[in-house]
Amino acid sequence: MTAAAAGARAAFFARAAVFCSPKRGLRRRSNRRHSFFSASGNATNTSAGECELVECEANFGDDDASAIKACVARINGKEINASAMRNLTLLNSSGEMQKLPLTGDKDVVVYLRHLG
Amino acid sequence: MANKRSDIQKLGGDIVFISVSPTAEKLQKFLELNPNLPKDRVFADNSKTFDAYKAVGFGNLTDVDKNTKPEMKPPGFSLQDWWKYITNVIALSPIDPNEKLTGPPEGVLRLGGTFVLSGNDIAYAWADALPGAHPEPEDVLKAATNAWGSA
Repeated sequence: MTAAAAGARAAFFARAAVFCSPKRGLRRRSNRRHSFFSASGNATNTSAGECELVECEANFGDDDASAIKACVARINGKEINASAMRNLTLLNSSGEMQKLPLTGDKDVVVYLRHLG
Repeated sequence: MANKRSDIQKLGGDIVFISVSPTAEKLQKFLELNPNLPKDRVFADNSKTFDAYKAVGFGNLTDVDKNTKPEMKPPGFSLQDWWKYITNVIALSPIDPNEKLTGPPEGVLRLGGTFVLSGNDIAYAWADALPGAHPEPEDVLKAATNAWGSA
């Protein structure tokens, strides 16, 4: 294994340990709210409460560190990654369409229900 | 979550809010009624197909699995809050004034959720099971702290 591949492997495990353990996602569910996972297998709205984070995948045979796949969340059967939010253009309070002003690194995105 | 913004900023991050509204006027009214929300961090999905919500997999209230329907809790409004709600709910509703209704408008049924992003990673994700079944703000802040480390 080349030094670059070894570096990529180490970087992957560091990321996986922090972000990508499904057990961590399960363990940290709030017990005060209504968090649960549906066991029905229903294809519709089965994600509720804290969602499962999908483990990262990496191709260690590739020297390119960019082969590491970003961590994603599984919501209602869809795998959602951060880019789904980083490229949104929405209406601002001035009535203009604006690209969502995220930092690009550390962001909290809250989807409210309708305004009423 | 709005009152956690300063804590999030101390960690080097920031927060944005997304809602459903067909017009900027409704969004402005909402911000007027909720002065604690930072105006430049609140946005509306005004698409007829709710693209921003569908992009992250959130469902509708009508899709909730009845077998696992969580317990509903009252919102904890004061009398003043209830008055504000009742007198503004129609004005804020996600109904396009130019659209003829043939049933409950889909915007009313949309469910939300919360994400903590760290670069290209999703560090935390929550899908509301029902209106009001949002995560504890403290839990979201903890997830952000775990993912980002202290600033």
